[in-house]
Amino acid sequence: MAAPTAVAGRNRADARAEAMARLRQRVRLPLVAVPAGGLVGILGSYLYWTLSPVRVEGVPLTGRLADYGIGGVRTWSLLLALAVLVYGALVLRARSRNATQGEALARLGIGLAVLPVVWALTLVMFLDVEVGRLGPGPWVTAAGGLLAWLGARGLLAAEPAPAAEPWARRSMLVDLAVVVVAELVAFGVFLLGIEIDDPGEFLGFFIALTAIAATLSTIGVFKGLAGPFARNEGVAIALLAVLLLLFPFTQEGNTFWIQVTAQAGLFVLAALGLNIVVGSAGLLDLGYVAFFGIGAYVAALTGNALLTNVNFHLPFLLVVFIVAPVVAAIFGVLLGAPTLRLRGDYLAIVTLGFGEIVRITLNNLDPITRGPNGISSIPDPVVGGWSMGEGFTVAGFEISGNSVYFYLLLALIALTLATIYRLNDSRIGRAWVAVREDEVAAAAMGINTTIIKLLAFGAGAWFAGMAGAVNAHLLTQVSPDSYTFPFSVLILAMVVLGGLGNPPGVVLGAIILTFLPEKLREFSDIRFLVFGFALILIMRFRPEGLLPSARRRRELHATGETAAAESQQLFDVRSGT
Amino acid sequence: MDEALLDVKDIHVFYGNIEAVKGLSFHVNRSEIVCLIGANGAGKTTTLRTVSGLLRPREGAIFYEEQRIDLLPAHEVVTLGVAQSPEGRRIFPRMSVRENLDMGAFIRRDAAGQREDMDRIMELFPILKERARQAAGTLSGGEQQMLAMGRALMARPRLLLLDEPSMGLAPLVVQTIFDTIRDINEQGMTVLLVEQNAAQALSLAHRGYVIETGKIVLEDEASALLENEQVRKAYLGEE
Ligand SMILES: Nc1ncnc2c1ncn2[C@@H]1O[C@H](COP(=O)(O)OP(=O)(O)O)[C@@H](O)[C@H]1O
Ligand SMILES: [Mg+2]
Repeated sequence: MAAPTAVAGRNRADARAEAMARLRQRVRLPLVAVPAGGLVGILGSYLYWTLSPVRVEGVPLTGRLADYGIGGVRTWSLLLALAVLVYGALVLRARSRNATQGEALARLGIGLAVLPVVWALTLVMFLDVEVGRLGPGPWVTAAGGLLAWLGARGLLAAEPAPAAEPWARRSMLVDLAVVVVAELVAFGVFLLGIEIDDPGEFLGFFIALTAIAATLSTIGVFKGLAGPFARNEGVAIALLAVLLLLFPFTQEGNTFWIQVTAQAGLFVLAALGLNIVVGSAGLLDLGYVAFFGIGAYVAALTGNALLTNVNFHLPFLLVVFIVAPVVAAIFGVLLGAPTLRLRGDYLAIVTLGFGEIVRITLNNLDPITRGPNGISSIPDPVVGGWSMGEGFTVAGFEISGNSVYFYLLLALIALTLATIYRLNDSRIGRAWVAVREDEVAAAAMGINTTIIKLLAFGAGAWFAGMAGAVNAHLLTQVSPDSYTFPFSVLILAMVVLGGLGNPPGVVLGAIILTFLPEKLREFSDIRFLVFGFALILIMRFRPEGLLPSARRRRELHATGETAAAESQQLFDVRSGT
Repeated sequence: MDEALLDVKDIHVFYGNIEAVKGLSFHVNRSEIVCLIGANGAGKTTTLRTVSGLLRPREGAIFYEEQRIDLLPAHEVVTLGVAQSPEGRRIFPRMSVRENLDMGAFIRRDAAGQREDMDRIMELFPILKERARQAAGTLSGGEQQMLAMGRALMARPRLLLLDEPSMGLAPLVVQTIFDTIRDINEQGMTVLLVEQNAAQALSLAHRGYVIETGKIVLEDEASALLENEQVRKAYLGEE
């Protein structure tokens, strides 16, 4: 009697084990952790994040921070948590899974984990909020993110995914729709970022954005977008132009962010110039600010300033398009000449010295530059009797003076980009790349390396001079301490962060590094700490920059052989050091 | 015609205070393959670099097509028709194979002629055609050597300088490379070849010079050098 029961029991046990095995095969345990982490994250987002309202200088940090519910920074953690839940569930249900999906999920997870922690740290460290006043929300959310991250890592061992490709053409309409939607989304995100005033919430927004962008990049969306964009370049550029032209109208008379955007435009110009020197020709220049300063002083001296020792006026357009760039370029060539036989670290140090020399000269050339006082009360540029600062009216719309600067910079950037792309495709551009890769070989190809390097210095300084000239009018004053070493470093950081050698990347880098400090004004004393940290993270996880050039990517993910071909420079060949 | 295409007269080349080449003379006639052989550090590369204008001799003179070239910078020497495959190949590792070949034609402005030469070179080295879009740094050593030679040929030179094309390559690959050099020469190219691999270089060349510590110690027909007692002992590894 006992035997059959035992058999039946064993059968039942077997069946259960079998069912479990089947279940385990269908549902890989780590994968359940991902959507579960998402759920925990959602829960955390709805919990208290602080136990009483936090005020910064009397203003509540985030409207309903002490409530249950959603708002402020929690909007963004909720968004990330939802993304983790939805994408995690999709991957869980999918028949075949690959490592790329694991990596993408891991990025979302880590974003969800990092967001509340960084937010909490910021509150505690910079806004003097006591840890005890933080609610359970951030910690629960972070735990959810961690859970999702750990689960996603279980997938990393899965089969590798095929490399991403640009999306193939389905139909004209789909292509166009993709381009339009992508640009509208990007523009919308930009406006949204401007809209968010609260620094804590902005932090959340920024981290969520970074995590989502990293995820999209991992699953190949950006690579894919390259397809439709390449096929509809004209439409893409035209739409972008329209959106940018409309930008001032989105600000409803509030000119602050238009001014910041104009400032970003100046940095874009300068960074594009530096990118020629560092990115294309491979010459590390740490004194680049000198040319920006020279352009600014040229404009200040010829711009009808009130407080100046020189009363020599030149038309603004002449100064911006010719005089300032030419003067800066001449100095670029002059200062470049002695560095021709130097490379790498030595070059960097000498250029750094030049930056200082220019600053100190401006400081001491009192009869012309008014020394440390600088030149001030520089009026808005006047073109044909019309002062740019007055703005103008089109079809009943008022265009403010700040917007005019913004439009002026848009035009200059468009022109600069067109010039740079032409240059890069020209013999000069090819020669820059050759010199960067191997100077000796470049000389052996018949490239006059001296001229080519001087051209790079000159071209780089040209655009810095242009930017500097506009800057003088925009800020209405110039003084030597505006053009110091950290400024050079900032521009270099923009170039490197965005993607050395790739103009769109450089533009992106300049925009991000202009807006970020503005947005994080409350912590402005630690601006450089934030920069430093951001740069370290970027260099660790994405050394090629946010939008790298194809060649640069090759370089940084080089095979042993490529690395071994690291170039011995002409200088070594000639002098034997 | 026996007039020399390249005539190097008593050059002295220094690195700082170190004299690496100490009064060296040789010449290369049109359509010849001439090889300079010598041990590591003998001054072969220094000599080639001086011919191509990357280094300047402190004394002596170099004539190419009766024109004095030792005072010209490297990029002008190329335009006169002297191209080189430098020591260590020095291809542009992050450019594609095709971009490398294009760089070789940097001094030329005849688009049609360049396309023609590109086709010819890809025929000469079929592997380069296969790898045309690949980053040059990912090629094997032998393929990189072929690329370096192809790149030099893209300048449509009248004198081709080759610095140790066999360095670090498997014997079979070396054979292919040397066969190609012979082919190129048979189509009329003058070649100045620098080699440590004396046996193969001498069996390919018409004439040869032996360099020791910056001086020419022997010169003769290549076949005679192959028979030469001293050469056999020092460079062909025979007792
Ligand atoms: N860049 C340099 N600086 C100093 N000395 C060098 C340099 N290149 C070569 N030399 C020296 O010059 C001599 C000749 O070198 P090289 O021409 O390279 O010889 P080879 O090509 O025959 O091996 C060697 O003693 C070498 O150490
Ligand atoms: Mg050598």
